[in-house]
This record gives sequence, C-alpha cells and structure tokens, in this order.
Amino acid sequence: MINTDLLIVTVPVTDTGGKPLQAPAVLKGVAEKNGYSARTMDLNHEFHKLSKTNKKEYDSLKNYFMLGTMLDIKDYKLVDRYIDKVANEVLEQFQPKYLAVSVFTYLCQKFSELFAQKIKDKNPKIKIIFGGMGLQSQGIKSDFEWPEKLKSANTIDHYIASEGEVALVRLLKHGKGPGIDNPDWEQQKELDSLVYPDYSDYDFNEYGTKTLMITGSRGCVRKCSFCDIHVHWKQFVFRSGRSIADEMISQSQKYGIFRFQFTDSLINGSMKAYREFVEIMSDYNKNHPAKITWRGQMIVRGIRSMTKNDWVLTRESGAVSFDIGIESGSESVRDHMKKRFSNLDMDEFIEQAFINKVPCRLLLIVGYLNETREDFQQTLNMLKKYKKYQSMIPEVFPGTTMSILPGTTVWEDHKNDLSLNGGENFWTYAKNPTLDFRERLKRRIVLAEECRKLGYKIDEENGMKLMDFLWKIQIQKQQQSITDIETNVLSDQKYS
Amino acid sequence: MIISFILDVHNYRGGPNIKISVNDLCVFDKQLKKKGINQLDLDVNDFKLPGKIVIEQYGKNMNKDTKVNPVGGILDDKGVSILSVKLGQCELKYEIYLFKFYKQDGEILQNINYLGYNGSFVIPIDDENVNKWKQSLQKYMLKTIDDFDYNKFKQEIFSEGPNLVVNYD
Repeated sequence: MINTDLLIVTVPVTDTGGKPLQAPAVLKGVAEKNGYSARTMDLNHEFHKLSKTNKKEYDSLKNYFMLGTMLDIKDYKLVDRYIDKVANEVLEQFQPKYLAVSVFTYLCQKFSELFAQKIKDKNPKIKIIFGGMGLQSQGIKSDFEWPEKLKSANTIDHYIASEGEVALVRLLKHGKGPGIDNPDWEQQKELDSLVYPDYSDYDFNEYGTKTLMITGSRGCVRKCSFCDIHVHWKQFVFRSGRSIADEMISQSQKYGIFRFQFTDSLINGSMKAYREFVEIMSDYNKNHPAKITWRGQMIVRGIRSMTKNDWVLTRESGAVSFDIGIESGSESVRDHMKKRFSNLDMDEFIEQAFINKVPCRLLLIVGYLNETREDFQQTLNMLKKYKKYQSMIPEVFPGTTMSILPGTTVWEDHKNDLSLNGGENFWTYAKNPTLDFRERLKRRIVLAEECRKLGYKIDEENGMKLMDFLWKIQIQKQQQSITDIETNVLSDQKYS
Repeated sequence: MIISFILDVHNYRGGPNIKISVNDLCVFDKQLKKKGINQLDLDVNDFKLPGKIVIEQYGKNMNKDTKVNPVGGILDDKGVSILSVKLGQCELKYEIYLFKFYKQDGEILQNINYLGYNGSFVIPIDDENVNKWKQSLQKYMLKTIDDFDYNKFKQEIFSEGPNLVVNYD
C-alpha cells in the first residue's frame, strides 16, 4: 500500500487512440514541485484494455458510461461490479489523502460519479476532487450544476473549474481560491514557468501509440463566430518557442518518446514564438539521430506572415500533420465567420504544405449563415483546385451541417434574425431564407459525393446516420437533443 | 409531471386491460375500450428520477382474444401500440423501440412497440434529467442502428425544392 498526498486518475470514457492522457502527468508535476507526493493511474486506459478480454462486457459498460443508459435493467449489476472492482484495485494499491479525478469530457461523468460514490462508501476519509472540462455538460459556457450537485450530496469534496495547475496547489494548501468550488477561475497568464508533465507512473509499453501531449498555448487569436473557445479563454496566452522546444527535447530524452501532439487550438497563433520553436527544433533534428515529430492544429496564414523559410523550418522541425479550419472556399462566408484569411492566403498555405510535405487535414463547415449556392460552389471549386495537392491532403472533415451553439458570437450577433426551430441544426436565418435544414443537407450530401469523386478520403458513416436521424426529428417537429456522437474521441477535442 | 401516452388500441373483445406504473406505483388501470388513438395524460406527483415506467397488459386470453382467419392471419386483436410517451416536454417516439417487452411467460421481445401479449413494457429512466436521458437514448440508437439507407435518405432530401447542380466552370 502506497501512502500519497494525492492520487490523480483519468476515467472512462475517452478514446485517446492509444495515447496517454496528459492531465494526471501535468498535475503530478505541479504537486510534487510544491512538496506534495503524487501518483497517477490511467483508469481510462485500464477500461479500454477490457475490450481485448471481454468485448461484450466492454461494449455494455462503454455504452452505459458514455451514454448513461442501460436498456436492460439486469445489466446494471455489471456496472456495479466493474466500479467496485476498480475502486478495490485503487484502494489496494494506494492510500491517498486526496483523490483527484480528471473528467475530460461530459462522457466521463457517469463513471466519475459512480466511482466517487464507491470510494466514499469504502473510505469516507479520502477527499475527492473533480476537475476538467467535463464538469460542464452542455458546452464550455454552461454552468457547474453537476459538480455542485455532487458536492451538496457529499459525493465529492471539491471541484476545480478550468485550469488546474495553480488551483490544485491552492486547494491543497488553503482549501479554497478562485475556481475552487466556484466558477470564478483565474486564467494563468504565464505558461513558461509551468513544470513539465511527469509521466513516471506511466508504463508506455502499455499504450498503442507512443505519443506525448504538449501544450504551447491556451485560447485563440481569432474570434471565429461559430466557435466558443474564445468565450472560455479570456485571453490568448502562449509559451515562448524556446520553452516549448526545451520541453519536447527534455521529455523525449527522459521517456524515449519522440512523437508529440499539441493540445492547442492553434500552434501558430504567435508567429514569433512559432518561429523560435521551429528554428530550435529544426536545428535539434539536424543534429540528432532520433528525430522528433509533432502534429497539431494551425490557422491559415499567407506567405507574408508564414514565410517560405518558416515552412522549410516547419518541415525540418518535425511537423507531420496539421488540422486546418478552412471552413469554406468562399471569402464572403469566411469574412462573415471572422476567419480573417483570403483565398490567396489559403492557396499559399496549402501550396507550401504540399511543397514541404506536411499533410493537412481540411475541416469544413457546410451551410453557414450567409452561404449561398454560389458560395457553396466556390467550396467545391476550391477542392477541385487542390486536387493537385491531394497527396498532402489525407482527409476532409465536413462535420454535419452548420449548427448554432449557445454562447458563440454567431448567435449573440444575429439572434434577432435567427430562429432555432427546436434544434441547433434546424435554424433558419431571415437574411438567407432559402437556406433551411433541407438545403443544408443537400449541400452536405453533394459535398461528400464530390469529395469522393475528386479522390479525397472522407469518413462519415456515423455523420450521415446522424444527419438522417436529425432530419427525421425535424420533420416530426420534435426537439433536437443530440448534436454529436463521437465526443469521446480525443482528436475531436479542442482543448485539453 | 404530466406523463402522456399516445396509444393505438385494438379493441377486440372489449379492448386491452392496461396498467401503468411509475416507480412501482400504479397510476392507471383500465380497460381501453375505444378503438384507435387514445391519449392518456397522467398527472404524476413526485416522480422521482432516476426511475422507471411500466406499461402492462394483463388478462388477455391468448386463445380467444385474437381473431384469426382460417389460415392464421390476424383479423383483429386485443392489444395496444405505444406511439408516443411524453415526460413533461420530453417526447419519445423512435426511442420507444429501444425498450424491452417482458412477456408473462419469461420471453423478452425487442424492437417492438406493440403489446400483443400479457406482460410488461419497461422504460428505465436512468438519469435525473429526462432531456439528457433522451439524448443518451438517441446516441445509443445511432451507434447501434444498422439499417441506414443512404440512397433513401438522399432521395428524400432531394424530393422537394430546387435541385442542386454542380458546375465547375
């Protein structure tokens, strides 16, 4: 039995693609730097291992943990048995004063709640802390109703809203502070001084993909109308290129892992920091046999902003894949979205990615508020134009159709002209009245078919099913309650 | 909370005896005599969630209460189809097919909304928030659905309104 001040665990269900989650390692590093002993356990990974030994039980439990429903009452025994087993395994190994549960998305809520109840039943002395973006159920602007309820019921002792590094230490030291049991969290402005994530409790041989997560910035430099990232992160804060490069080099040497994935909403928000980062990493990779590679999300920048030399350094620094929010081939639509890049910028960006052999996955939005058929045709024209770069465009992600999220500027700025009609996907816009849900679906279907004809990979089995389902809900004049079905996939998350 | 049921009644030999229980408390128990659509609006006080709703048919004589022709085809029956269940503002339609019907003899029937035997149709609500629960059901449905027909969907979408012509000129 290991006595420790803090035990930090991940919980099911997050599909990490075989990668270890970062949060426990980050918090362990911070806690130990402040004089507390800390250990980590990846209960999410342990859960996924069950799929190899008992697929049927795994599927039943996964559906329950993710979707919160078990259609056959008899199967509830399975859940209780599993939670009990996990709680016993945790308590057989550790005797923590505090148990911190990293609730990565709302799809981790069901397990977290049952797990906390079980731990409290077995050892009420252990203080339980919940943290993570999954504390909020309905988007990042929603309230903290769920952890408040758990706290009132004494299922948990504390919760931490948003960033955990400073708040966790304050909680351990003082038991209170901004963002501790209240939503008034303070955004950390200085990221360079953060300690590196401590993965010493992780057995990397257990993971399918040996990749480490890394965070270079929080927030975004853009305020895209359809997105709520800038609503949550009050300010775009970023690390120096030197600091990011130092972490990559140090962590790769410490753990023997050379693949990194950025958790940032964008890597090239500050070109000064980005340039410094790629210069250092390019130099490092030239002089070391074990090359470091990395991937992440970028914003489009034209050649004047992200120069040819930046692109060469990008390649040499180890960039192997970017996700790019192109959204539309129409400047008029992108202007309305506040994407702030021209067609020329986009052409230059894709061309440079092609020349420098950095694959880009393109993210699109079909049926944005002001999108006309001419605008839509421009998106198709763009895809046709970029066919020549296809070897560096491994996939196109068109999502479903444009949905209006509460808290986004598109809603706040245009709500007088928008009717939601019972669902985020069912909206109509008075200034573009022919663009109803049927019209958006037409464009979405055509887009997918044209992508395939042009030779792009587009994986959307679940997407089409979802759209068919939404369509049926709309024609029955029912309320839309479902907006996605793959929220548990790590690569779909926009923040860590 | 008002719980509403829209039921399509087959009233052969007087109609089905239907009992509805909410969290094991009987809130409705009657023979439904009127053929066709029947709407039941039940005011259920203190409906604690998570919980369950059970719709039970009882007293059906399987030898007498189904009218069949000489070759076994059903001409009329005593039974009920559940078309809609509404919990406050949260309405279930497609989701009804997810639940199970436990026949009195122990057999479990799935993917149906018709109560043609004596037994219980069970709706387990395993969340405090019915809207969140419905979302879970829909996600579950989408993940397990295997009869999605892309061509039918496309045909339906393009059946009305102006056609969408692609022109790369």
